[in-house]
Amino acid sequence: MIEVEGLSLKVKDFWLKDINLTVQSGSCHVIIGPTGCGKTTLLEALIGLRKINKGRIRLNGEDITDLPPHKRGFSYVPQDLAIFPHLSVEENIFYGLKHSNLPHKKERYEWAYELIESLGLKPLLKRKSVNLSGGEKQRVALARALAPGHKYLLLDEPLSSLHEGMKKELWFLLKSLQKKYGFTILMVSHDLEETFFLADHISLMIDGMIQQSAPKEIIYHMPATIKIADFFGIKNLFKVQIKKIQGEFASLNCPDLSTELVIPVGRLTPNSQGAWIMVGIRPENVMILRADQDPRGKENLLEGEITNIFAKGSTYLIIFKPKGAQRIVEIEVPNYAYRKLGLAEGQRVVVSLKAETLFLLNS
Amino acid sequence: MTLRSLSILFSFLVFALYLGLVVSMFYFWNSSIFVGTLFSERTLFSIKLSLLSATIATLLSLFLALPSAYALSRFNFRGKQIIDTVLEFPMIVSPAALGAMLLIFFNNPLGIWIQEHFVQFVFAPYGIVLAQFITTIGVATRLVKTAMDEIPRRYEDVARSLGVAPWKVFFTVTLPLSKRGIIAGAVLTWAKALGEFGATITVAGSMAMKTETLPIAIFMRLSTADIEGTVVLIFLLISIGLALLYSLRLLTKKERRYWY
Repeated sequence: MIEVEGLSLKVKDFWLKDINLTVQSGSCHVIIGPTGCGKTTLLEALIGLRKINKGRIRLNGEDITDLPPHKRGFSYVPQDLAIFPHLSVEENIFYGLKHSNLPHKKERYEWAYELIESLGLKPLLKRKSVNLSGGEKQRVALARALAPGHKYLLLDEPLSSLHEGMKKELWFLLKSLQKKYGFTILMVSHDLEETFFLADHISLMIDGMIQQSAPKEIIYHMPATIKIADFFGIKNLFKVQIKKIQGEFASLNCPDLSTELVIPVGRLTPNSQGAWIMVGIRPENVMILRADQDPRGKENLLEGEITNIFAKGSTYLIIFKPKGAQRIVEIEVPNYAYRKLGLAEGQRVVVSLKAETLFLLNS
Repeated sequence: MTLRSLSILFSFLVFALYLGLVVSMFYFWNSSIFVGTLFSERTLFSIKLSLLSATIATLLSLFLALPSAYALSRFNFRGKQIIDTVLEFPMIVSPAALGAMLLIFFNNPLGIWIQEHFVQFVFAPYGIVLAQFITTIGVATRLVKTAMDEIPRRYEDVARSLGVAPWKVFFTVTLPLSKRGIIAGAVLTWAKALGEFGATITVAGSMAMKTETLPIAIFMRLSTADIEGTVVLIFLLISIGLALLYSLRLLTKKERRYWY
């Protein structure tokens, strides 16, 4: 387990502020954030390439804050992979094993050969590393990082330069390797799809601070702040006033949508009655009712008109304007649902904002 | 006239300037003295002395330049800017002044003590090596630093994360990757040492068969109005220099910069 406690670090005018992070052994933890948010700097600090101003780093309870990079036990794959150009594929993979003073070398060599088989690198061993394709380079970089037998793999957007097909192939490979050998991955990414595919746990970083750290399902469905929702591109954020809290539900007045909404009471307390807060809903969680569908029993119904439809490839983005509302609602429907519903611009429809999919935001 | 053709014209002008100088020497070319001058005992001694002293001075320069260039290229430390600026010292101070500074040093108590207890530098062959070393060390460090600057630090970072100690990373990653740049720097340093005159004559003097390097031999022949002999020695120096620079070009042409 990697534990980061109160880590602060200054690089020129940029600060990483009070970073607290726990990476469970055997999990894949992804730090995601916009370009320049400090995620690579954090990774470099963990590896020992940057001196930190404050805080501690622990690996399985042992304080490694003051250890040099070669004694930390983290293997690192940078964005550009840094495959040694003067060495062959084989020499690259065995570089760490050959030149380090790690114990039990025989077992480690056996493990490295097994890894080479798993990654399908055997036919490439004698090749010059500069003559490899993008995907081959990624696999060599992974093999080189894992060969010394380190259980912790720190990846800095290593797949960012690959085309979609190759990228997905490597996602599967990384996942299957992790499942087979049980190593821990701490990865930095700005790619949402990659993050949600690979991660068990996600930490979202903006402006040098961790904004939210949670299992991926929670961070996906319940982003904690407006900044996070904004990073995920969620536009369905509405200002509401808490009208009444009764039992398990709270009713809210939403002038943005010119309606009343019901949400699970969650962390709202009775004394928050009358307060103005923000709620949000992911566009794929908004449900369009079929013309013949009985709306009874459905929550938070809105009547209105479809103003625009945009084809996004695998889904359609529907712009919905509720009757009498100032704001629009974005709805995302899969292709098959779009065809089944027979939607068209100008069409009048009823939509439901399912109460349990509405999330509360800290401003 | 287009910018392209104008700039090409200027580049040929530079070439023509040097070529003109070389061609003009043929006015004093005398084939009958060529072999005699070239294979005279005095000339052969000068060639041997020049090649030997330039090689030793280059090796000494590299020995000091490699670690200091690594420090300047890879680390931030107090005084780095000053050291970096001082590397140009031999370029801003004329070689004769540099030689004079060495003479002054060896007339100080410490310099006298060194000469009495270790090696005689003033008016001695060791003085040649010292003068060449002093004039080339700054250039050598600058060239090696440039070679190391070109290698992204990522390679070293990854190597260290694989459990390899910094010393080993230096010898297995940094040095092999900057090898070609270092060799090119060594060749240029050697060429500079070979052509060194001002500091050498000031420190070591111009004693035939003792401290007479090729540039000093040229000066000596010229001072005795032996123009034809001077021309032979100049051709000899040019040949050595051109062979060296051509091999350097071949070397750098083959160089493949993997990281761009």
